[in-house]
Amino acid sequence: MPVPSAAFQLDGQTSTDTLLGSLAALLPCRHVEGAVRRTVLYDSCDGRLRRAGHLLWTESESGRTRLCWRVAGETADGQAELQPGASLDFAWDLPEPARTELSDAAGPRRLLPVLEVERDERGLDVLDDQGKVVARVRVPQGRARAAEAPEWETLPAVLTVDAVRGYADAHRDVLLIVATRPGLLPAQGEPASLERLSASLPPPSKPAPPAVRPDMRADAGLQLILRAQLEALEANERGVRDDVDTEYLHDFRVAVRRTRTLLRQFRSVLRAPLVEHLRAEFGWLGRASNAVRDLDVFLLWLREQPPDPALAPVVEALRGRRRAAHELLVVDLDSPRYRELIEGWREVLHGPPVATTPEGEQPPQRAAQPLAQVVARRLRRTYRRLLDASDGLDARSPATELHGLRIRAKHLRYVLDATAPIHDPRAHEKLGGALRKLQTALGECNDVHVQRSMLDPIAEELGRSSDGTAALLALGRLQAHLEERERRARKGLSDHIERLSGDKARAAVRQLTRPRTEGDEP
Amino acid sequence: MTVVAVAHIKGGVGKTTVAVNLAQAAAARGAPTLLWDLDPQGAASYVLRVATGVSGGVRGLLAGGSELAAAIKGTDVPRLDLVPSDFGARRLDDELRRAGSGLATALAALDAEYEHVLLDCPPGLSHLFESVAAGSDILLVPTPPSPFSVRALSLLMKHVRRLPAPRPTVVALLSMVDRRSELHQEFRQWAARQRWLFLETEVPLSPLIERMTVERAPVAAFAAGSEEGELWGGLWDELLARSARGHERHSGFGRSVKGLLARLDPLAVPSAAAPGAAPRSRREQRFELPLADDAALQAQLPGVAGRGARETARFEHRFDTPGGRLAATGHALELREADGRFVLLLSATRARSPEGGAGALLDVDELELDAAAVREILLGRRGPLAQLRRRGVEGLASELEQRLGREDLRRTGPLAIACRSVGPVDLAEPGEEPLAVVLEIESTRFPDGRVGQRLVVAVEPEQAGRCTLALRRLFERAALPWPAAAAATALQGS
Repeated sequence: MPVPSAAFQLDGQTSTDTLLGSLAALLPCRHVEGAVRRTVLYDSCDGRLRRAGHLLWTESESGRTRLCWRVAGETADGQAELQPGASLDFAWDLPEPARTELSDAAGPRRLLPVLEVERDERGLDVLDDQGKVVARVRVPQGRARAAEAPEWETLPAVLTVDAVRGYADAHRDVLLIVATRPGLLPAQGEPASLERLSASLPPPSKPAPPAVRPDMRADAGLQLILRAQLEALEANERGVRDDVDTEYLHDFRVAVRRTRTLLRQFRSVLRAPLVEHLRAEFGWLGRASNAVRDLDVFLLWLREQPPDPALAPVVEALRGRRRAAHELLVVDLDSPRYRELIEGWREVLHGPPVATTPEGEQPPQRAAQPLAQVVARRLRRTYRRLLDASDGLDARSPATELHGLRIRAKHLRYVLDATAPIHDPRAHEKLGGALRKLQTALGECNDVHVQRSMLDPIAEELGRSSDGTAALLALGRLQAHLEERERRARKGLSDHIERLSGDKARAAVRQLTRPRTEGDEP
Repeated sequence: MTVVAVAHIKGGVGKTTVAVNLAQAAAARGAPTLLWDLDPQGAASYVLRVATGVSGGVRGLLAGGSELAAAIKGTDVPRLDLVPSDFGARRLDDELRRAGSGLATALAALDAEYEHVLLDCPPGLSHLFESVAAGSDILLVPTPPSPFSVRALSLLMKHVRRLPAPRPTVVALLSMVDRRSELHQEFRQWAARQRWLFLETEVPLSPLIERMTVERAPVAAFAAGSEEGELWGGLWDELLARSARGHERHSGFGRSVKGLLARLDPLAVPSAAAPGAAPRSRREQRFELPLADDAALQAQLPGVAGRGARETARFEHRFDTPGGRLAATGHALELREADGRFVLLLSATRARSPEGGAGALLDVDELELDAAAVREILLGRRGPLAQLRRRGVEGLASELEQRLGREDLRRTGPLAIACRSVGPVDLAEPGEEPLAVVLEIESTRFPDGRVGQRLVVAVEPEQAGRCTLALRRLFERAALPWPAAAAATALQGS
C-alpha cells in the first residue's frame, strides 16, 4: 500500500534550522541526520532514453548502490541491487528486467552519467507516547550538476511529511502543525524530483542543418553542405578514438562517405584537382575504418542472438580482431595524413567558395548555377543510374551485382539527405522511405557476405586448436544461420526494387527535381 | 496454615526455582510443608524426583478428599511433601470452573496436616490464577530485572486489585539478578524504592542455582553453606514477616513502572510538562513605532548597539474574530514561539497617549504553555481561551470572553519576526534622572511576503511621559519621522 506523503516548498526566508527547531519544540520527535544519498542519471550522449520517456539512474547511500529505472508511461520504478563494480556501460549490461525494458531505446550507445544529484537528508522522526515513529518530516538539502558542469547548483528546499502505515491520524496532525509554520508553500509534487531535473537538462546538442537556399549559388551551397559533414566527422572523432561506443564510428563513417559521394556527384561545381585529391583521401579514411565497422556490426548482431557458450572462442577471436583493428584506426587518426586532410579541408570549407579557381584554371562548369538546379540534375542522374543498376536483379543475383546496386543506392541517398533542407519534406520522405527499405535489405546481404568471410580464418584457427571441436560445430551452426539470414534479406529484394521504380517513387523524384519558380520554398 | 502461591503472568521468571527452594527452607525451619505442583510441565516434580501423574486426574484433587491425600508424595527433603504435577493440569481451568469452589476446598483439606502450602503455578492470567489468588495468603511474584517482567508485574497488580476480596498480599521478589549488569542495577535501585512490594532479598543469577535442574534437588541440599544455599531461609523469614504486616495499599505503581521503562527507553518521549507555570500580569506603557530606517536609529546609539545587542527569532500566531472584534476593542491575544518556549499573551489597551504622542497603557497577562497545549491550539482542538480557563487564569481572559460573546476566534499568521534587542540604553539627557530602556527593533515578515520594521519599547507606566520625550529626541536626531498619529495600539498594532 503506498504511504501518503505531502510536500511543502520553502520560500527561502525561514532557515531550515529555524523551521525544524520550531517543529522539534512542538512535536515529540528525534532529529535525524541521514547519510548523503547520491543519484546519478544515465543516458546516451544523444539522450535516447529521455527522448523515449525513460529514466535510468543509480542511488548510492552508505556504500550500497541500487539501480533504478522508470519506463515511459509507468508510475512505479524498477529497482535492483547493484554489486560493487557492476558495469553500466551499455543497456545489455543492465540486470533484467531493466535490460529488456530499456535495450530498444538505448540501442548500442554507451550509457553516460548526465546528471549528478547529492542529497543530505535531515529531519525529524515524529514519535507517539510509546516512542514509536508515526510520521517522518524531512528537509533534503540537495545540489545537482549536469555532467561535466563545473559548479553544483543548490536545489530548491523542500519539506516532506511522510506517513507511517497505520498512523494516518498522526500524519494528519503533523501536516496541520507543519502548515502553521511560516515560509512554507504547498508543493505540487517534488520540485526537485529526478523527472523535473532531467527535463531541465539542456537537450543533447544536435547539429543544425546547413542554411542553404535553393536559389543560392551551387558552389556556396555545397560549401555549407560539406561543412556540415566535416562538423559531423569532427564531432564524432573523439568518440571513435576513445571507443566510447559503435555509433561514433558509424556516424563518423557516414560523414566520410557522404563527403566523398558529394565530391563525386557535384564535381561539376568544384575544382577538378581538389575533387581528385579529396576523393582519394576520404576513400583512404573510409577504408581505414572498414574493418572496425564490419566487426562492430557482426559483434552487435551476435549479441542479439540467443547465447551459445560454444561460440565464446569465436566471439573472443572477433573481439581480438576488433581491438587490433581499432588500434590501427587510431594510428591512422593520429597520422599526419589525417591531420593534413582535415585541417586542409577545414581551411577550404571556411575559405572562399570551393569553386574559386586560381588564375588560369577553367572555372567549374556549374558553380554559378542555382543550387536547386544542380541538385535536381544530380538527383535525376543518380536515380536513373540506380534504376539502370537494378534492372534484371532479383533474389538470386550474384553478390557483386547487388553490391553495385547498393553503391548506387547510397549515392542517391547521400545526395538526397545532404541536400534535404532545400527539398519538399513529403517528397523527400517518400523517396527516402523506399530507398531505406532497399538499402536495409542490401546492407543485410552485404553484412552477411562480409561476416561469412570473417569466419573462415577463425575456423582455420579453431581447426588447429585441440579443444576447438565444440566451437567449430557452433561455427557451423552460425554459418547456417547467416545463410538463412541472407536468404531472408534477398527474399524481399524484388519488391523493394519494384517499389523504388514505381509510380510513387517516380512522382517523388519529379517533385524533388521540378524546376523552381521564384519564391518557391522547400 | 499459610498458603504461598508462587506465580507470574510471565513464564521463565524462576517460579519453580523459588517455589522448590522456599518449600525446602520452610521445611528446614521445622514446619510440615506441602508443595503443590500446579504446572502441567511438572518442573518442580522433576527437581524433587517425583514422578508426574496423579491417579484419577486433577479433578479428584480439587475435591480435597481421599484422592488428594493419595496423590501427596513425600520428598527427599525432610518434612516436605509434594502434590506432583499431572498433565491433565492443562485443563485445570475448565475443572476449576466446573468445580465452582476453586482451590479452596482442596486447600482446606490440607489445613490440619501442613503448616505451609506452596503452590507452584503455571504462567498466565487464567481462571486458575484467580482461584490461586483467592485461596492464597501471599502471592509471591518472582520478577527478573527486565522491562517485560516488570511490565507484566504491573499488569498482574492491576488484575489482582480488581479481584473480589479477600485478596492475597502481593509480594515481589527480584530474581535472576546479575549484579554486574548496569541495567539490573537500574532495576534494583528502582525496586529499592518500592519496598512495600519488593522483598529485600534477591535471588541472584547463579550457575549454582542453575545446577538445581541437573542435581534435581533444592540448592541447600547439594550446596549447603554456599551463599546460594543459604539465602532461601532468610527469604522465607522475610516473606513471613511481610505476610504478618499484611497488605499495604499503594497507588501509582503503574506510573512508577512506566516512568522506569521510559527512563530506560532511549527513544521514550518525555511526558508533557504539567501545566504549572502561573500567569504573570503586568501593566506597561508600550511604544510601537514604525521604522523606515533602523540603521539611522542605531547610529544614534553609539557604543550601545554592539554591546548587549541580542538577535532572536520568533513565530507569532494572532487570534481574533473574523470581524476583528478584539482589535477593535483594544484587545489582543497572541501565541509566541521562540527558542522552544511557548507564551500566550493577552493585552488590553487601557489608555492611549494624547494626540501627538505615541504609545499606549496596556494590561498584559502572560502564560507559558507546554508543547502539548500549543499543539491543541494549533490543531484547533482547544482554543487559547480554553487553555487559559483550564489553568484557572482569570482577569483579562474573562474580559476577552465577554468581548467575544459567542464569536469564535480564528488564528492568523504565523508571522516570522526577527528581533534585535538593544540595551538597556539610557535615553536621559545629561543632568536628567537615568532612563534605562531596552529597544527592540522588530522585522516582521507577513504571510504575503511584506516585511515591516518597528521599534518596540515597554516601560513602567510612570515613565511614559519621559520616555515619549526621549524617544522623540532619538527620532529627531536620526531624522526619522515621528509617528504623530501614534501607532499606539495593542499588541497587534503592526
